[in-house]
Amino acid sequence: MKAWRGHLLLLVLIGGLTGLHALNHRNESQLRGDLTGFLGTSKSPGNQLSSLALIADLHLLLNRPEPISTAEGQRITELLLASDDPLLREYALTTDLCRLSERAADQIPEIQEQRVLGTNPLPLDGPWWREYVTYRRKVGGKQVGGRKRLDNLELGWYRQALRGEDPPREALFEHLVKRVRDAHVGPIPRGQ
Amino acid sequence: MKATDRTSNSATGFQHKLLGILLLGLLLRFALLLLAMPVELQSDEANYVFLALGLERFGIYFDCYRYLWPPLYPGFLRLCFFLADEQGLLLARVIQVLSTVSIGWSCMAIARRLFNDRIALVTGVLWVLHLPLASYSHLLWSESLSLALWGPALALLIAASHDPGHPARGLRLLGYALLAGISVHLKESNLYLTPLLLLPLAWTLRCQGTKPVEILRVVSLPLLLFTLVILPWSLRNLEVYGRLTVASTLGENVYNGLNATHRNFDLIPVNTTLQRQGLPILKVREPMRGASSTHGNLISWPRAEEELNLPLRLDANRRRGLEFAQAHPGWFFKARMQKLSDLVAPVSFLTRHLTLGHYPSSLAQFRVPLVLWSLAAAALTLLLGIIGLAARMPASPAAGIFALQGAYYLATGSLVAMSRFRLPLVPILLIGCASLICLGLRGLSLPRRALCVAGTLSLLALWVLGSPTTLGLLRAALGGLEASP
Repeated sequence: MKAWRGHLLLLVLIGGLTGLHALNHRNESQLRGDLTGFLGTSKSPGNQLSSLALIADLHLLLNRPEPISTAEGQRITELLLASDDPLLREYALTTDLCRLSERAADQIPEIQEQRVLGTNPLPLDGPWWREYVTYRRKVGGKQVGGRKRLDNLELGWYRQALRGEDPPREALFEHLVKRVRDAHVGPIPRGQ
Repeated sequence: MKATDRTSNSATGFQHKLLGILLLGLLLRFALLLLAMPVELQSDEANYVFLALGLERFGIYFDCYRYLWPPLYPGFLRLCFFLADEQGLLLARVIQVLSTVSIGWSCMAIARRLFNDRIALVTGVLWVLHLPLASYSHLLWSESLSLALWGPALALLIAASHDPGHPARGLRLLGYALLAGISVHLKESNLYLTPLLLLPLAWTLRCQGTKPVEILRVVSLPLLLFTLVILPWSLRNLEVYGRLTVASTLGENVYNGLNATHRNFDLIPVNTTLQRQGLPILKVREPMRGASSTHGNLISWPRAEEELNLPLRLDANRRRGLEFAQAHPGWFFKARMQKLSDLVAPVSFLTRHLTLGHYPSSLAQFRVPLVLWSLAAAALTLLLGIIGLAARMPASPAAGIFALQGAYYLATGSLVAMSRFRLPLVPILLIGCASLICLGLRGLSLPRRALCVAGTLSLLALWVLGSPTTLGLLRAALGGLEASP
């Protein structure tokens, strides 16, 4: 029996972790209960949960196998976009919500596209740049709004924007125009 | 006493040489890093950075919609951003360069255990000179860190399997499980390989007359630790997606691998640039195309976009892929050949980056020698490594471990292939190369000779099959596409 002590210890740890998970697990109705303040009519989603806690709960609710309708997804997106908190507005532009968005003709998520690129002229300031990067530079393809990947220059501006600074307007505009011009057009050339 | 002194002196001499080789390897990799900065982000590198930014900004780990990547590499980048903000990626590259010492050390440790000091040192020199492997130390793919963990894991497993009666066997196996488990969080490809590689140890114990219950006891301990290491992430996925999964890339890889066309990421970015410049793209041989005289015009099956839950969507993709393969067996077989050819093509991401102009002029000014060096390193490592392993690998548990690892990566590579995916095999091939250089081919038995001939011919056949694209990629690398009109 002494020779199996290590096994027992590891089994206890595995059981402990699994038990801990079972204890902390929240099903869909519990999650909805915790999100009542936000999912209700309140326009101040931060009242009951901190923004990060709210995002963490929404992340669970939106990714579970139980289907969330696109209508509900859009309602949550609109609630987030109407928030005073820039973090919640940016979260509305992530994969979690873009995949639930109504699709435009070319399959892109319409609400988010309008939010980020629907104004003229574009703000081109720090908060807008954070939203743009979150929406346009995401991994996952155009179904979730991702176009082109982040490059070094854009990353530098994003880090500045996180510190509350604005990127240089003209340089940013020229850079974005260049990236659109360089965008790949046509089917992927796989050589087949 | 004199014999003991000689052994001690010899061991000290070996240690000094080993340290010297590791230092040389570090110097070369730091020199590459210095010349390569500021290297532009490319494809998955940008994706890893984006995931790291998501962790930093929202405190949650996003999936990639088409994949669920393991979390540790984005977590590592996030930590580097936390520590060094805008210089975070430079910090990540420096840490990666330092971590390559672990790869060099483990290559030499394995070679020494299997052969002798001389072959171990030659293996070390080959590790220093393997430019494609060295270049990953400054690129932001998880390969370098993953190998830095997997190499010592393999060294510990081989030590435990070679000497199952050693008092440190249990600790060595636990070390293997721990390092392999952590490396799975960097790159999931070793997930199924880790338990599989315990089979040679079980076989050795069985041959030594060990009772089945004792074999079970020995083998199950590292398996339990491995389970424990991957469990927290699996439970997190159960909470988020409703599925106890470690990582989910299989569905998307099946989409890319079992479809009417396939993806080779050594080729596609180069072709994209060629297409943008109005130049003819590089094409695989006509019979290997989905649209060909042999296959007509195969229609690609679409992704299961209607499934919103990630694991369900990937499951649906996997099912569609298998159905497609069953419906087109001829195409399935031909596509595997093309993929294996892509896997062993003597190109690398270093040559790809040079082609696409991602390196600054400080490094790109050495374009021609770097491309030729990379080509020679990749081609010779493959050719001499295969011959060396076939000719000189001792009949031991390590032979079983190497064979299983080789078969495993050929199998995964036959789904989605590119030069990057053969990287986990490079340390083994370097050991094979060194054994061939030091021991030659004299006095081989007939089966060993047959194995050498079969290995060489298979590799040459795959090179010939892939030659239209490989030669095109090398020409593009030597010329550089950014300079083209």
